[in-house]
Amino acid sequence: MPNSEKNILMNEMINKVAANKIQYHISKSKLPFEEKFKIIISLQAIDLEFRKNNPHKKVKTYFRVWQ
Amino acid sequence: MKKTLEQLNNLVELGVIEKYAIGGGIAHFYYIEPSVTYDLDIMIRIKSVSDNLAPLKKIYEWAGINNFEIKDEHIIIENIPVQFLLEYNPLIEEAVEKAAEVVIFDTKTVIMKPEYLMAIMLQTNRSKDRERLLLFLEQTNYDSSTFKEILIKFNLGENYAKFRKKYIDE
Repeated sequence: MPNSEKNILMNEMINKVAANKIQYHISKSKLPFEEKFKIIISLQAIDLEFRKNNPHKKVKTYFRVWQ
Repeated sequence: MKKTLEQLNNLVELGVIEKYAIGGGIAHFYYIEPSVTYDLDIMIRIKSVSDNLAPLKKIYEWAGINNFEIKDEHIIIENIPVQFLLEYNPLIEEAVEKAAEVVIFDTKTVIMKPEYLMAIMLQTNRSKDRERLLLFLEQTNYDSSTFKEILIKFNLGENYAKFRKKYIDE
């Protein structure tokens, strides 16, 4: 297959992946707030774990995982 | 969260504040894909400020009576750090005035509308505001004519044009 055709196929594939990604994030934005809230709490737990012993990341006094 | 929202409604019922609206990250994530946030920003209107040097005095008194912990500028209400902010400019005033009544966790509450949140992001213009504004444009069904009216009214048209040129039209 010539390189020009390969490039076209590659670009098509990248565009398809990008479009799928955008759709995935849009679908997350449409979740009910109660579901989003669970995600926020999970992300807080992960974020706080990453901040532990990491001198480049501050942990402010009010940072906590919401229950 | 439900208990926190009930406490906010209680503040209105008690007359400590006249009106409130959820703003900041939690309001953003009501409309767009959620990410990390650690506090709940509440924009408030107070009927009359008895102490100009400490306009939030009554809220802190209420927090004290209820044994809510205070951490820096946050009051921890039912395990959620809440930051109360007075309406600090005309755009915020209108955003609070026209905020949407919604029900989450079976509790009535008030959240700023997307068009106002987008205008506020343009006004504050931090890196995370610009990032989230792009997500609003991509993920929400905002009313573009209302958004344009707000931009004109609060002189944000040029800010939006620059934003579009840099991040969208390029």
